[in-house]
Amino acid sequence: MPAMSTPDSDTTTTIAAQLFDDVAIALRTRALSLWFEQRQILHAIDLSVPAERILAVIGPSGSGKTSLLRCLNRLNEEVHGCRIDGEVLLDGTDLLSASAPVHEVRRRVGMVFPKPNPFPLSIYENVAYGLRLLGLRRAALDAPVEDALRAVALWDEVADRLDAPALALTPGQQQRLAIARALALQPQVLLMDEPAAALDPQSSLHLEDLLRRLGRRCAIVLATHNLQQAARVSDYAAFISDGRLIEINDTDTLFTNPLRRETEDYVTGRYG
Amino acid sequence: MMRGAALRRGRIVEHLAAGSSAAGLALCLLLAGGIVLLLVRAGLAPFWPQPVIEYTLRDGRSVLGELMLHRDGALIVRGDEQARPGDGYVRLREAEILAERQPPDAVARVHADGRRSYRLGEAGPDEPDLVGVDRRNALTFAGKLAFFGERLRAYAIGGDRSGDAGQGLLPALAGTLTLVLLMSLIVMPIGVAAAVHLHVYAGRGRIGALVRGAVGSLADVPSIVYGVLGLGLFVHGIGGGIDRWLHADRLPVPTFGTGGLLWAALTLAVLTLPVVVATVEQGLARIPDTQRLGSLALGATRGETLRRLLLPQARPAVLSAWILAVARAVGAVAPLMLVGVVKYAPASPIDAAFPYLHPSRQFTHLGFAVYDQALISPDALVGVPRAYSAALLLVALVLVLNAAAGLVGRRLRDRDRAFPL
Repeated sequence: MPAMSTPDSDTTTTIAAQLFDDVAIALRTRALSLWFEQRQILHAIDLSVPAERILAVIGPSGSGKTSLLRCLNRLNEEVHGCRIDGEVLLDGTDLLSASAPVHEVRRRVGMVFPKPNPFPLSIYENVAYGLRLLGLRRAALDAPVEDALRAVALWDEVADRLDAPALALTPGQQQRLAIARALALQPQVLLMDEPAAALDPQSSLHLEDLLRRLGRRCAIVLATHNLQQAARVSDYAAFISDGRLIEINDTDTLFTNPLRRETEDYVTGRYG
Repeated sequence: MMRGAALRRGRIVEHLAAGSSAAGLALCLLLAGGIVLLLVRAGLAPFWPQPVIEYTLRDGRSVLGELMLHRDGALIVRGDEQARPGDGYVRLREAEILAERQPPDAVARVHADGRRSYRLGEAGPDEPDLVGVDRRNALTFAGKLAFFGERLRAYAIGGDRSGDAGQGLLPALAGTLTLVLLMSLIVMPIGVAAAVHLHVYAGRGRIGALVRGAVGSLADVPSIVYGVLGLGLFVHGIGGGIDRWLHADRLPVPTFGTGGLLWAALTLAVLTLPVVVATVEQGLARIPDTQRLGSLALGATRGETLRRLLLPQARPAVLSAWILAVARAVGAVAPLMLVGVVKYAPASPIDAAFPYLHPSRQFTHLGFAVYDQALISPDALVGVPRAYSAALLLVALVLVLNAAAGLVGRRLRDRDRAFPL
């Protein structure tokens, strides 16, 4: 695996050779650029998200991790003055094209937010929220709700109080509920934006266990600035700096033997 | 030393702040309580039976009547009304009076034309037009209470004085409630829709700021201006148009082209729209944006997010918007004078005849009753206290509405906590 010898000022992405040769790709971006008003946030990002694996997106605060994730489910469109260029390909169709209805895109690409944001509904109705939008009735909801709650290891804790308000759960439970809510729609890709940011260390570890198990269920993109967390959980890692994708590799190699100087500076703590 | 002084000074400032804010609070309570007490006293006292007093004067005459005022060494006594109500007042100087007593056999009488007269002994069968007779000096407390209730009831329904028929407080109360209800039906859907649109679609752009500024300044326009708007736009413009189109056969007698319940309700709806829009939008803005994004991320459209997540959470705000609108509408009398309020409605806007609600009819209103009784009444000594009682009812109406809103609001919050949405 010969390292590409490129100068540090290079703005192209360094991808280890044969990195994705033996895995299926769930989602791929081509030359994805993002502007808010006149400011360019993302610069021509070519990112591949392997199916049934966890891809960690690491990088300093403000480097564009959240913006990148929100491109993948088109949530940036809620921001006034946003402009997107490039392609986001899922199963060969461009999610950004006008022919892809935005609510359809968001069902296939789920998202979990940094702070737990349960709706002021019951635990059950939180998980059923997305399914009810599809017009499902209560009889058809019980099974998928239970399945989603089991997938996040919350079922045993709440099975006897499904009608209790979700806001009464602990923050750790609320975040797992948010994941269950997204999983209930059986997304192909799950975007997780700093999912442990608001959790205590214990709940955080609990969540990481959960992520490793979920990684076999759908593709997960985990944005985090917690390098230990990325190293513990992910299969692949992508380093983003200043809106540019610098390097992508399998997690062990990226952390121990990065190909690019900026990546090395960041993962060894010499950044900035 | 220095630190001790600074600490002491801090404590003094603290005490001053606590004391002055407590004083402010006490003043507010005192004012609110004072208004209610004044209205209760001044509004209800005139219905309590006043004793019939016989004054014996130094020149040998005697006067029988009720004491109305005692001021500047003189008494104003209401004696027999000879020709019409209000002409029986007698002024007596204190120096003239030799003696006064409350004869237990005194009789107060009410004639069919509303005149009052007083006699000693028998009620006097000589006059056939008597409609009411009472021996109030002989009444026990329970009897006085019954008398009080009866007079209050008569005034409320109307017609305790001749020429007052249909002018009681209950028709005015019914008119007020109908008007406010009709206004609510108009303003709430429009106001909520406008607030939702502002919040969801036009919120962040320059147009949003413009609309918000316009709505805000509408709230500061004096209410009489809305009356002029209602008169010009609704009554003459739309109402006149409807008459030319539908009721051409009856012209020049206007049907809709004159002040009426519908136009008054529309005018008040315009008047209260800014309050509703601002309050509902604030309620929507209080919901954290993460909830909206969370819903969108689950594949909900903006409309579904609004319907399923945001509007249910804004219910308390909608309720308080409604209360604020009603409170403002109940108090706005000036514009109504231009668009259909009357002293006496010949035909009530609600009755048993189909279609039960007659939006083109004129109506009576409590707020207007206050004004009318106080200033237009032929008998000031009777009219002003009646203005107080109308005002008392108006205040009671607002208080009841507020209390109801508070209760409903708390019930809603409790239910949201127990069984969210």
